Amino acid sequence: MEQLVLAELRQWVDETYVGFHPNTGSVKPVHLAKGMFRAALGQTVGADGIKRLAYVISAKGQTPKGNTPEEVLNWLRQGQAAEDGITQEQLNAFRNALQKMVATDKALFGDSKNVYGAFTAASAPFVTKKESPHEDAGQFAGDFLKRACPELAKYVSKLLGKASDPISTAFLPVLNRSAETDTLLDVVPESLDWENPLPLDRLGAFKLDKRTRANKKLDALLESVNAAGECLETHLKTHPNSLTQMRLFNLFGCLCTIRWLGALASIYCEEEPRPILLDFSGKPSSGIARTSVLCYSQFHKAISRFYAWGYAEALKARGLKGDELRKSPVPCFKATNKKKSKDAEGLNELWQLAKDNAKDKAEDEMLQIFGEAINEMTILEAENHPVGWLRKLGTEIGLFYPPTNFNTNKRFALSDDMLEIVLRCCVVPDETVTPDALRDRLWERFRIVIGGSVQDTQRLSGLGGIVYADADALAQNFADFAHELDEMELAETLPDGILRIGFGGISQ
Amino acid sequence: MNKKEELLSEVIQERLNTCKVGLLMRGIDGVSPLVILTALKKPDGAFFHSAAVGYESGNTLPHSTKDFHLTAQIEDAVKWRSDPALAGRILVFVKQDADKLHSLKELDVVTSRAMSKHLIHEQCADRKELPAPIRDFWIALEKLAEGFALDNLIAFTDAVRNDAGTEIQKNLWRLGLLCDARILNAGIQPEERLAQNRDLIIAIGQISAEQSKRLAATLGKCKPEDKACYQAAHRGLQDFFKYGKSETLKALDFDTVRELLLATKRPEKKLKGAETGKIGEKPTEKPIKERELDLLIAGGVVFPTPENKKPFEYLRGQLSKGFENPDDVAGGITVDGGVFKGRKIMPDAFDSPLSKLVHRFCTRENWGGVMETDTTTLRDAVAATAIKEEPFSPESKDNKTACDNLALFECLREFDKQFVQRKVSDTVDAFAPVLDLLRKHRETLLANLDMLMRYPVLEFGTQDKCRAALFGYTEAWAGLLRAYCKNEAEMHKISPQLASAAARSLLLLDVLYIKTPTEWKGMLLPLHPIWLWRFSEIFTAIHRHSDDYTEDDKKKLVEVFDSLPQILNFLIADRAITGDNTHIELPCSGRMSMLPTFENKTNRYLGADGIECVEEILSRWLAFAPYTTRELRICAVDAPDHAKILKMLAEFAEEKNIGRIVCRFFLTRGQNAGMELAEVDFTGKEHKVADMLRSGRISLSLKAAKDLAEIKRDLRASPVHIGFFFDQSSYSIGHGPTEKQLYVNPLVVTYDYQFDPMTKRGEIFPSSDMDSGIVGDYHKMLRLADLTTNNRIPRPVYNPAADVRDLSGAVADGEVVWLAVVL
Repeated sequence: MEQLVLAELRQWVDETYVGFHPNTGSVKPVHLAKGMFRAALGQTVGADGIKRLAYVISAKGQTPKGNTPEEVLNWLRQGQAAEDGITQEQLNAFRNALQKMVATDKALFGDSKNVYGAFTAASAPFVTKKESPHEDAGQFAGDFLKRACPELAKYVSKLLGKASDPISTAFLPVLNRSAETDTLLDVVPESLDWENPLPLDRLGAFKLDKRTRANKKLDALLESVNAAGECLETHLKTHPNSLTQMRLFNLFGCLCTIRWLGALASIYCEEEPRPILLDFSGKPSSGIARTSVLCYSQFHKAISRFYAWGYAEALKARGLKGDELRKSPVPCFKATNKKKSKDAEGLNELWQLAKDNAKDKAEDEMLQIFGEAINEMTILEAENHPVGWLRKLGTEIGLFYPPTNFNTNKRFALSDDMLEIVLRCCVVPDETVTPDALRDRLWERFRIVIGGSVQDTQRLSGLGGIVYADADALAQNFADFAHELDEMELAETLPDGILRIGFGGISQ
Repeated sequence: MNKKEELLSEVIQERLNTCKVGLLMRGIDGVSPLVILTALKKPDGAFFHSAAVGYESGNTLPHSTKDFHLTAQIEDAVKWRSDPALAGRILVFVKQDADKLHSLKELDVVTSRAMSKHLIHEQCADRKELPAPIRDFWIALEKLAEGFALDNLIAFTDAVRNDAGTEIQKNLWRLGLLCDARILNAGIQPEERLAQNRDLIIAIGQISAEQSKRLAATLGKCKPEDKACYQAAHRGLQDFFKYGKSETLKALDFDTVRELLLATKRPEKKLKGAETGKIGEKPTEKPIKERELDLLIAGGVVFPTPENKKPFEYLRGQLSKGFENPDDVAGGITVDGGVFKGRKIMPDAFDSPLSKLVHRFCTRENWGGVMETDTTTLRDAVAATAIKEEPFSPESKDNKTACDNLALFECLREFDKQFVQRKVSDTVDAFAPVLDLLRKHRETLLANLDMLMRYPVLEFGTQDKCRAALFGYTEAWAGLLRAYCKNEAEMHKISPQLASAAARSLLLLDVLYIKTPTEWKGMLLPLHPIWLWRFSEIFTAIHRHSDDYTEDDKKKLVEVFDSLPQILNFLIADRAITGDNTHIELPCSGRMSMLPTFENKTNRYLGADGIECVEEILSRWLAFAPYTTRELRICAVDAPDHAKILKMLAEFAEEKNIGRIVCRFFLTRGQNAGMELAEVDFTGKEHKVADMLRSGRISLSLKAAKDLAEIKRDLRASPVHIGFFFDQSSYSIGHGPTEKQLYVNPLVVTYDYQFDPMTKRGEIFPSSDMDSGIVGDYHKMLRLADLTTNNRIPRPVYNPAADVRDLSGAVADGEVVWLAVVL
């Protein structure tokens, strides 16, 4: 039997079941934003003018060809975009400010030849073709949101097209627009091959028979995302600042992507999705924080289990049998460097252990054992793995805490921004809800639990099994949550002690 | 009546004796208020007024008996509360949040925790027949009651009803814990053990891929008789996280799981004493940061071993990658083996504004330059966008280094031609070959500029090519300066004007001059010959004359490697730079990252030096006044790096468990502390600092003060325990006689001491002037360029006229208890 190549198996699982490649430790929300915007718009632009004006110098001191101060000034003057009175120094200062503005998240790079990456901007003229592998998760999230909440996607697409935000305005002379039709000129329709986006219908979950259990789980997920998305849409429509609207949309997209990763085990492997206990205690040693850490463990272990299952499916798809695998050589990570391994001894041990464990087992069980071994071997050999990707993105968007990658024992403790987005997905602008109603919506839309009610306690213990906090601690957690909302002016305690949660009628 | 109802009725019975208005049973499910009220033993003639809100029995209410009246309306309870006649006889059961609950706040609240505590308490209270370990167990459990759901506790107490110790050991799974055969053993602290049990489950859920591999390896290697047991435990844990059911824990044992977790830990190796760089004698998982990393690197370079070779190369590769893409190593770098022992390395932020600035002024074409900025301090100037930048390009005639419309290097090559024409080639050294060598080696060094600037010891220590380039580059520079000094007389005959201009221009190379709105400042760039010369000398010694060093010498070298003295004591910004007739002498004022800085009227501490004493002084203070662990008050005046102090305080507060630290920063020179603090990664790496600021554990205030007197007034109003005053004097330039007999060593700056017996004041001049070598030639060029005179050389002096009376009186006047003056 030929030597298995781990990277190929991983790619197969990602492309068949996941929809993107969560294999980078450098993913940032801005990468997802670009992918989502591309999916929402269904087109890209060259943005050459923007790149030329905004990109002054790289961190390594390189300036792309054509971007030197003199060349840019001449180019602007030729296009009558710069008045004669503008000096080189003034333009330099302006360009430096522009670069800081559109490369805030440090996702824009340049060398002596070109500029590539993702702009920190949110309008159609900045949405370029895929220039970084990190963006495919955004493309997936965009496609997923188009399916789950089409109205929201349409609204975002329309807003992107308007390009009326201050960042777009700053670049107005170089946006490459047609003066007559007010449309972008260098538009390229998005192609739909794997290299760029992945149409959802190619994914296993979307192909499954609707009557199957797995598809019901997907339907439930889509429904919950739809309810959250529609609620968010009402907020976007009432918000005066389009950049803030896009920021909210981006955070929502990132959250949905994380939910999708967490739900893979339930969609494909018939597991129950796990509750997410939000920790507002602020103390890492509290029972709530410990239980939230357990929730995080269950969340990421579900992803690992899904991948183990996925690898077993990949072996099946290749027609491999357990007995063949028991005689097979130790897999390598990439076909190109078969001899180079980070930890050949470790791989050998894992593969040998899998062979021992698979002895005298049924065929399916054998494949599952080898799937688990392949998962662990991939994690060891690859630069990054899906759990690392999840941790990075979740930390970046303020879902996990502590916010450093150094701490692996994360818990679900929301940043203010993330708390706001979660709330905006549960309460429409003019609405005020009671704590119980909010608890129900958080559960239905995000499987989030905070505590303070009998139902929440049951939700937590019913599926999560272990809870290191009693009902009083959970009630205190809700009180801390309410206090935080109060401080953010998203809730008020009425004179009779009743907590009312809402946005204070912002649509008026 | 179920167990929960029994329990609640017992708690109610107990609380009724002490309650004044009534009892509010809140958030308790699984009970029927009707059943509880019926079962309650009432005092003679007592009639209870009760309400049950949110319970299933609501449809059958109201319900009255001779002993109680039960309603489903909370409003009734609100009415009863106002009737003094009913005091102590009101019982309200509220399952969920309900309107008007706030109106019942006078009622004593009973929650499930009270029931939990009661349940546990009754297991051991007044039962003297219980063995001590079992009683201790229940007491420990009572203390930890808030960590267990009531239903689990009921199930657990039911299961261990017969009091046998083995039942307790076997049924811990009902509490979400691992079964523990040793929980009741003598010498075991049950409270600690229960907490360990809980932490073990959490820890096993967090094991990393690396740990998972170690676990697999251990499972593969364990003895056949143990194998089945460990593999079953491993499988059980996987099932636990898969299905999330506490029943899974039934088959898992605390000791076995702990051994599994231990198998995931890195095996500890014996340290090799001096070879390790002597940082941590005990194995630790603490991440390696800043100075420790520098020391480990220095240790590995000075004491090279084959085991360190690969880890150092890997670290170098990762650090280098970090400069390309900081995100790749944002989570730290783990280097197996060598002196790092697999500990995580947390390097400083890669993406520093200084790095970007250096990359602009230190390129193949640009050899330093002049930058104009609208900020006033050097740190801000580095971070801010420049108003104007004029790089020095020795191959271009369009910049300040050009000599009369000739590019600097072109000018030197013209002199070469003139030497040939005048047939004096034999008595002079040609410039062209040296310039070619200089450019060639510079090219190699430029490729690794970031590493060279931040980790020069690692780069030169591990990269043979880079080290060879270092030797070549400094030798080429030495050759260039020597050639100039040797040829100067001949050059003077050819063109006195160009000879002098060339000397001045050569001295400009790889220096960055910064024009702020108020004054000039300067900085050496990483390819400046005098800056690099120190490394060249030391690495020459290590690699070519290592036998000359004793073990002790080497250990000392390790300690000073990252803080070598600056050899160049001053820079001169003359009219070639300023554009007018001003001639400004800038004393060396400190360093930024590894690069020396030059400025007047400033705190000389720009780097970390000086700050390190803060932690030590704080520790000593705590030993002196342990009562201040509740609240420690400090102030820092003109701290060189406020962010660093803040981080240090947060670490100190955590390590020593300080309740609160009140910290006041005073600034007397218009420094922008806000900008320093804004650079702290509060939402990421330094989240603990943010947490402490948010929770008020660290209270921080910043104040710009006019002078020390104003600070003194402030401190009089709110004194502090320790006052840190950072260098309240400043440097200025004095002039001293040229000293030509000094020996300049890259490890030690030679000082010239003078003491005036009449005024009883001493002066210390750092001096690096000498007669020969690269440093001697550099100083000679200063004279040839008319920047210094033959017998008077600028020397930085510590300003003796500074008025520090307010500072010296701070202790006597009770404004500080301890005064730390950091010089």
